[in-house]
Amino acid sequence: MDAVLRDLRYAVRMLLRTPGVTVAAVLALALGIGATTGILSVVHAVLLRSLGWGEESRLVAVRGNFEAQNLIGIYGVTAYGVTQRTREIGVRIAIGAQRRDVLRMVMVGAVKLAAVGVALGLCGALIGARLLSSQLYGVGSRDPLTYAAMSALLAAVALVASWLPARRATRVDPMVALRTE
Amino acid sequence: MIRLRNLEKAVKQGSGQLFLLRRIDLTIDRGDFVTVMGPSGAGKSPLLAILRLLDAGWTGEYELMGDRVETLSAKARGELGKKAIGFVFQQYHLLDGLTVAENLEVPLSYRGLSSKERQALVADALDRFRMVGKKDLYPTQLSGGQQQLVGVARAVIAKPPLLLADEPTGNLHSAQAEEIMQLFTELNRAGTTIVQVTHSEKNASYGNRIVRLRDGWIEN
Repeated sequence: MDAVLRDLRYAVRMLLRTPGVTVAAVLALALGIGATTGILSVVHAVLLRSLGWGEESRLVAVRGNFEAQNLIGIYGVTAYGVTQRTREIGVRIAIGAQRRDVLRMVMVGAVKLAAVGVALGLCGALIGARLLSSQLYGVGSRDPLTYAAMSALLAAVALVASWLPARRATRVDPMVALRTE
Repeated sequence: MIRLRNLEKAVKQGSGQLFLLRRIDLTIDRGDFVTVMGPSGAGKSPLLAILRLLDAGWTGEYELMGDRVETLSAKARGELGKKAIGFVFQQYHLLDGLTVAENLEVPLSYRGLSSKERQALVADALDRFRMVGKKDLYPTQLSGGQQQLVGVARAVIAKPPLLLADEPTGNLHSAQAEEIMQLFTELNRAGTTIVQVTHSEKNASYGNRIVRLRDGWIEN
């Protein structure tokens, strides 16, 4: 726990050192998550009620499309971060970090970004759904189940999307990383 | 401490291979202060990378503190390196996003120590290296000499028995270089085995033995 907290503090500080990239990444995630959740909230109210049993695949296709976009977004941000931190990862391995330490460090950073994105996105979704519902008769703006499910799903997506770049980070050759500076 | 027998390192070049190290036989005893010298391309850096256990692509025998490195798994090599070796870089390689105190804590964080133990060791190192007043500064706020001082402190904070240094004074002016070499001498007197790579004959004179490399071979 101590190590995770330390990684979190460091990740926050590193993100603050590159505010442009951080804001862009968080906004992209928030926008994606907010739009996904907001629209799904309405889609849930409009479509789910009208669909009969046996047509769930249509909903899965809609949700799957949104999740694929978030997966690619988180993967892109994490992969970019790993590339930017190649030298640092090389240094850490040279002074004693094991592969699992590097894996944890990268994944904590990615999950933290996703958490901020989820928080902002859910706020945006609440506002967006309220606006949309005002235009549609009989559709509520808050669907707790959708919001909870989306948050859980996105947390899982963040873990999956950060796994590959994190694995790549553990394969950084410290001698190459330090030579390329 | 270290025993190398018939150690060779080669890389692919076209259809053949280029040897970076050839039939290296070298024994370094506990408490030695060894300087590795040689022209560019002699094989100094590959040798140091192998000694630090960062390079596994070699053949021959390497015994470190009684462990036969070539028989160990990657994980076991990592654990051995972490326990036995401190490393000083020519370019310092401090982490820019961390303060001096936090940089010193990084190697300790990989050694399973509690927060309290880490803080105690960091406080100790800051005091010993006379950097208490600089503990909250970031690397970019320090001179080259001060950064290397932090680099040395970081390398020895976990009290490794072996210190490897790759051109530790390569980026420093002579007064700063002398300070670092004096520090190495003190560490060596306190029992740390040191292997440094340098081009400087003056720096080599601080050690008790010189190993000269040329084209991957040890010169007699």
